Amino acid sequence: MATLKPPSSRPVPTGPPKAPLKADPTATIADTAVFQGTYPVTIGAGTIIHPRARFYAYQGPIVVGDGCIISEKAIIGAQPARSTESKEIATRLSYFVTVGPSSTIHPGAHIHSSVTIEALATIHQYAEIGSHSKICSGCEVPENGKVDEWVVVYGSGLGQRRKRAREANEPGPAVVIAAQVAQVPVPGPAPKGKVIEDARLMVLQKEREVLARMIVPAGAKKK
Amino acid sequence: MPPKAAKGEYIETDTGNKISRRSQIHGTQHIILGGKTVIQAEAVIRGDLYRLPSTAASTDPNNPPPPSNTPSVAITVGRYTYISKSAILRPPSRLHRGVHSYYPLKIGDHVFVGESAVIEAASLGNHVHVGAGATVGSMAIIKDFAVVLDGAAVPPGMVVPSWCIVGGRPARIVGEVGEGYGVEGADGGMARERYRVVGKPAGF
Amino acid sequence: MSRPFPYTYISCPCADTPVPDPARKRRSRGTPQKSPNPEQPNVDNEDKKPQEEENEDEEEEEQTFDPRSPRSNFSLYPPEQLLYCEDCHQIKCPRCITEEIVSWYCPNCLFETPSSMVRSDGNRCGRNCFNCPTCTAPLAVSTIENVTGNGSQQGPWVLSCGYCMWTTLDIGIKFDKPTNIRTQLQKMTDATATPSYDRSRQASRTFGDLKSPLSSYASIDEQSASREGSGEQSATNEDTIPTPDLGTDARFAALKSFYRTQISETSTSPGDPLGSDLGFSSPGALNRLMSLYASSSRLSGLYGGNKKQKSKPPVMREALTSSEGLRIAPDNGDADVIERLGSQECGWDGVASIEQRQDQSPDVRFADDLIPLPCLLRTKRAKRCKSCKHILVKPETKPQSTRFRIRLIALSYIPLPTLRPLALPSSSSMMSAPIPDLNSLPPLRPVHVLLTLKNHMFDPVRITLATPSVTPGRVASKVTVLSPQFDIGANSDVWDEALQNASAPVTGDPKLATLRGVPEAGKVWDKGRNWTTVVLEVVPGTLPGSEAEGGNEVTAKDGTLATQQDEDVLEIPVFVHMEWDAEAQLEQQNVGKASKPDDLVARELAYWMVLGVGRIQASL
Repeated sequence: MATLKPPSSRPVPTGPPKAPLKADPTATIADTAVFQGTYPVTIGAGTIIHPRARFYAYQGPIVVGDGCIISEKAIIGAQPARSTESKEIATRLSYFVTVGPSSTIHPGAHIHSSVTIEALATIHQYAEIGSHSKICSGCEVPENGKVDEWVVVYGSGLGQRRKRAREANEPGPAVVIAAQVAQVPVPGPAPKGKVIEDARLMVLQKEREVLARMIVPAGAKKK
Repeated sequence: MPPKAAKGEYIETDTGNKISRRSQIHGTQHIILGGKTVIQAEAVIRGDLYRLPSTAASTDPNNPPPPSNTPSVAITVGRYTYISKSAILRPPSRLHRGVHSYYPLKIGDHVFVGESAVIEAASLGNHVHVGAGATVGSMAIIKDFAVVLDGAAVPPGMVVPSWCIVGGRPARIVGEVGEGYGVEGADGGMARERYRVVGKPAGF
Repeated sequence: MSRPFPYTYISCPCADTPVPDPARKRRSRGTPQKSPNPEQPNVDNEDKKPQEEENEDEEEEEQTFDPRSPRSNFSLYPPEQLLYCEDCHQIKCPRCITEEIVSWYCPNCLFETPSSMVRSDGNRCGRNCFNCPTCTAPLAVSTIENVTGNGSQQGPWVLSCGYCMWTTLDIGIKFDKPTNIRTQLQKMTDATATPSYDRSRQASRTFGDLKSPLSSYASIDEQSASREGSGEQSATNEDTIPTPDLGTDARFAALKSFYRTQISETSTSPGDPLGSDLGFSSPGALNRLMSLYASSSRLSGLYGGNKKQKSKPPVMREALTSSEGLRIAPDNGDADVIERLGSQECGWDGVASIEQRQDQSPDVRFADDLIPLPCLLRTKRAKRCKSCKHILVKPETKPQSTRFRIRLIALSYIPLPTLRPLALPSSSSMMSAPIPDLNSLPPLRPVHVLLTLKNHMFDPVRITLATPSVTPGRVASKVTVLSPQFDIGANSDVWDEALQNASAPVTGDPKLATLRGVPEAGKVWDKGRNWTTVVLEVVPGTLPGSEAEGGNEVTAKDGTLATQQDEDVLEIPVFVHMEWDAEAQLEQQNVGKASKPDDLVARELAYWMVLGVGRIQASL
């Protein structure tokens, strides 16, 4: 059993241009996060950028709203390889967006608030993800694709979609029948589906608080 | 414990771990490698997401606790375990009694983690095979000799019993491995051979 | 699971032995010894190729195993999936074994379910393990209130899916306590606790009272009275609620009890008031037939016993009220369903898929109607040889244990084959140092592959390999085993293995390979304590359509696409014949190390294996 020593110093990448970074002072940005490109990258308040997350602002500015979590090896934007078009393509992530490890968000995507993008998911160019939606691991949203709000994209291949409960739902027919047959009153309305989402967002808030203390911010060296 | 003078891509420690110089390991003081572990290039290991001491109640964010002397372990990796290129090992986290904290990620012996796989499990048992591009969700438990097929998405909290093969998104049990799985040299028992060829000149 | 190249499969001999009978078993053990030996010197001769079509059992060894034949699919297994029967002295594949359940367990909580409970629990976990009805991921019990857990954890609970974010709130269900979810859910969704429950109890009572013929009238009165009652009840139900249906399970139970009552009543009282207008096609017909054919008192007793008059067979009526289990299609037919299908908020995603409906009630049409299902149990199973009933695998009963009480896997007996391409520094002009890419082997260029056989037995074995000189099928690749006959040393203690660990036994040190020079015919490539490596020279054939080499092949219209699926996969059938001297008592193999030659028995085993070398390139 051996505890690992920190690896020896890596060669410092010199080539690519460093994107101008406009980060809120309350944001936590890991020192190994990469910001490249010519357009500015804006990071909102309380947002957490995990190590090894990469921002490529070659084709347009990248705006990340408040309270987001961008996980390791997530790629937002694209390398300049194929940028033949000169027009500016903005990539927007709204509030409380969670971007999972190794997921990719291509330029021009618009992610609305409280969206979860899980590990290894891909959001292609100009795709729009409605608020409170979730893109499950490995799923893709095609170019110009649109995902409504409160929708979960899951499964493999093209993926299936389902609408999340938002309001209080009526008890299902099985429950109604059972209650009728048993001659007991149908159980009262369950709480709104929204409480689940509220709970999730609260957990995310806690997660950010913890992460803000754990992640080694850029420019600072712990220990 | 200085790493042996190694010229190739890999640094070999005295316990025989072969770690790529291009691996991306964070929080090394919270990681325990069992020896003869292979970590390939661009693999991210998040030892920095360790469990804070229990005094660190999130109800008191203004007063962060002093860093304890004994670093808590975030990730344990067993012997002959192989972490492929671009894989991510990340301790799971959850909210418990109002405190959001990270829990240790335990990986057993002879485990294979495929390329670009994302592991957030609570534990991977011995002889577990995780295919390329698979994701293992938070707090999932993969028991000994289980196989996660390429591209599978093991949902959070799932338990995969021993000898079972899971695949698909979300992953479900699709079969079982044979009784001979894990025998040295056969399928599931290739860990020593995998370890041996790491860092050898190309072609062998 | 298809495997990456190179791979090895072993063919279970059972594919050629249709019926497992003991006589056949003995013969198959005896015969293979003859065939390879005389053939061995001319393995490469063409005369092995001509196939005799009337291949009976005796001829099977003369046949080249064709990995591409459709039957091969059923006999080829990865080595670790095969078992070995020590009584039959034969490889056993999953097709030549029988299984017995040792224990049931829930794959989610890993608790064992006692066999007595399995049936009553419907083969599903009786605890809190549920699968998501939309995506099958496991559901977690979580609280809605006090998410932060600051208070004592209470308040309504839900089942929620961590993957697709489905919760029981989607179907408007919450739970009052976090335990016994299954009971709670059952109470909420299962409509079997119904008025018909009383009725079925009553029905069973009348059934029970049947012994006395005098009681029949009373039971009829009772029954008709109750029928009136329930009829009234259902009528009132129909007035108030448009669909007074029972749940599916309840309806089934109601129908079951109804017909049970009917059978008992019709057999005792032929003058059923309702019987006449439903005179045919009722289950009474079965009764009549049974009494026709089996007049024995025993059988008729079974079907409602003490029938007094046989002159006019009694008839049964069908269920008439919803409490009896009748369900009438709603007036508006499927209009409601269709309307909902077309509505904006339903759409494609709102309709339950066939996979989702599979385990649900047949009435479920929409995603909103799906209810969570408890996890299906899994089993740990013991395996027996089908022909001799010898037990081959017996796992420990505890679900968490990975140990076996008995585990006779083939790899403990037959040598483990591993395949590896050989990179020669300059064996020919085309091949330089890098290993040939197995996924695109250039045709007509020789490739050398190393086949290592590792012996796990504690006796040394003699191996004879034979391959057809040209692989079967349209893509004819030439194959030569450079040293087809060799010995493999005995396996010894695990400690020797551990001590010699540095010289990894499977492949040896590849650096020596460059020093070893060119593969030579008749010489083994490398050898270790319990393993031997030989060289196979392979000249991949050309794919039909890629060149004129195919000769008389029918070229498809689009030329290059003439190859069928996976025809470009280079698979080599290899016949393995192994001989060894085993102890007379094969019970304890590990003592064989120090055994004297006089109590040794010559054993042999022969089988086909298939080496998947790689994929042949379409063109040069």
